[in-house]
Amino acid sequence: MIPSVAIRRTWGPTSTFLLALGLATFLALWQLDFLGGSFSAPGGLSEFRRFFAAALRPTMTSANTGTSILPDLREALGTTVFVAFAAMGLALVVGFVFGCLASESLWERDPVVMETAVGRVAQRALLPTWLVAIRAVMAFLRSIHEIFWALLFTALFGLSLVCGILALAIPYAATLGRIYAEIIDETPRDAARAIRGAGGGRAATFLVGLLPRAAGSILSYSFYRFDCALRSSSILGFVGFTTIGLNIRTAANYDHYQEVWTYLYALFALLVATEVLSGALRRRIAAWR
Amino acid sequence: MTGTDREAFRLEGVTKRFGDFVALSDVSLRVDRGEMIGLIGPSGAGKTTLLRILAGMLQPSEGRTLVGGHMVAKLSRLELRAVRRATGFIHQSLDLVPELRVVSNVLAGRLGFGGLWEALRLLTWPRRDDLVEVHRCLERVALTEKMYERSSKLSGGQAQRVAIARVLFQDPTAILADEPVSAVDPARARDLLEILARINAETGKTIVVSLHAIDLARRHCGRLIGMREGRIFFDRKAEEVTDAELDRLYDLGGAVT
Repeated sequence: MIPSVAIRRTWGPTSTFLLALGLATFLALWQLDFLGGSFSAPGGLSEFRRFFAAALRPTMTSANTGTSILPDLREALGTTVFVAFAAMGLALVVGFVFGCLASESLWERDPVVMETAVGRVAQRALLPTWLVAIRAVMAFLRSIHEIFWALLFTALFGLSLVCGILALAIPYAATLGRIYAEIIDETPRDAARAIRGAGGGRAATFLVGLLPRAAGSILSYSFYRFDCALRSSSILGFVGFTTIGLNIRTAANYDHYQEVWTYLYALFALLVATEVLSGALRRRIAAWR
Repeated sequence: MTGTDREAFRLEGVTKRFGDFVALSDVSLRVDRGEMIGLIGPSGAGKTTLLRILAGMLQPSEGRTLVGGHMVAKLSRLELRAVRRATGFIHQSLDLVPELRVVSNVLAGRLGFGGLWEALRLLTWPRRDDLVEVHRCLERVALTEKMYERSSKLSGGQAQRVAIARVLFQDPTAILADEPVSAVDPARARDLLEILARINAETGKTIVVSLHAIDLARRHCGRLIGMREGRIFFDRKAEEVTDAELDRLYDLGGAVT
C-alpha cells in the first residue's frame, strides 16, 4: 500500500516576487534597445577612441604648464586618503553607537527580574517605538547620497574639507549603524546569557558576551566600507573638493586624457593596495573564530 | 543545625510552562549545602528547566523558588545579581566566547561583580592578582598551558574544562551543571566528574549535575533525583536506587505506575 503523502506546493509569494524581479530586469534591458538611437553624441565615437588610446600613454607632464604633475598627484592622493580616513573614523564611532542602540540584543529583558508596571510599558511599547525611530533616522540619513550632503554643505559653508568629511561621514555612519545592528542581532546570545546567569550586568554582558562574537563581522564589513569610502572621497572632487576627482575632472575638461589616465591608474593602485591590506586583515580576523 | 541555614535551594510546587508545553509540573525539592546531586532521566524530562530555575535564570509559571532562603521572585535587580553570583552554571553548550582567549573566558566568571569598567578591564588589561587566580583555576582542571589560547582552538573536552575553570573563578557557593559531559568521550567524562566531585569534597560547594551517564552519577553523587515528564520520579540516596527503578525511569514505552 502506498503511504499517504501530504502534497504541498513549494512555490510561494517570495518565489513569485523573485520571478517578477527577474522579468522586470529583462524588460529594462529590452527597453535599452529602443533608446539605442540617442546613445551617441556627435563626434562621440572619435572622442571615445582618443580617450582609450590615451590609456596606453599616461603622462607625468602637465600639458598646461609643461611641468611634472607628480606633486599634484601626490597631494590629491593624500587628500583623498585623508578625507576617506577621517570620514570613516567618524562614521565608525557614530555608526557603532547607532548600531548598539538599534540592536534588540542590547535591550533584551531579563526574564526573571520582576516585571514592574513601568518596566512592562518600557518593554512592550517604548522599545519597539525606539527601535523604529532610530532605524528611521538612520534610513533617512543614508537615503541622502554623500554627493547631495556635499552639495548641501558647500552651499552652506563653502568648500572646506571638513564639509567633505562630514558629507561622507553622515550617510556612512547611518549605513554602518544599520549593518552593525543586524550583525549584533544575528550573533548567538548563549555566551551572553551565561554571563548574565553569573550575575553580569547589562552593559558588561553586552561588551564581553556579545561584542567579541560580533567583532569579526563588524571589522570585516568596516574594511569593506573603507574601500567604498575611498571611491566616494575621490568622487567628492567632482563637486570641487581637492581630492583626486577634481584633478580628473579638470584634466578631462581640457581633453588631457593622458593625464586623466595617470590619475585613474594612481587611484586604481590605491584601491588595489587597500584591498590587499584589508584582505590580509580580514583573514587574520577570520582566524579568531 | 537544622532549618534554612543549611538549605541551598528549595522549590515549592514549581510548574513551568512554555506556551502549551508543560516542562515541569508541581515539583518540590530541597537541596542542602554541600550536597552532590545527580539529576537523571530521559531527554525532555525537564532537567534543564529545573536547573535554570534553580539558577535564577527562569521564572516558574507557578510555585516558588528559594535560593539560600531568599525568594527569587521578590528580589530586586541587584539582589538577583547577587544571588546569581553565588550560583555557578555550566551549560550543556558551554557558552564560551570562542573569539576570546581562555584567560578572558575564565575572567568573565566574575563579571557579575563589576560594571562596564570591569568588563573593559577584563578585555584589555586584567589585574595581576586575577591572572594568578585564573592560573590556579586552570590548574585544577589541568589546562594551564592553554591559558592564552583562543577558545575557538580548543577541543570539546578542553572547552568543557574552561567552562569549569570559569565557574571556579566565579567562586560560587553552588554549581549547577547541565549535562556537562554529553559532548565528550567516556574517559574525558570520567575526568570531569572526578574534578567536580573533588571540588565538592574539598570546598564543600553544593553541586547539582544532570547526567545521562547513570554509572557516573551513581559513583559520584550522594543523591539521585530521577525525572520523567516534568515530574520527580524518585529522589533518594544513590546507593538506594535500584536497577529496576532506573529501568522504569528510562522505559518510555511502558506505562508509569
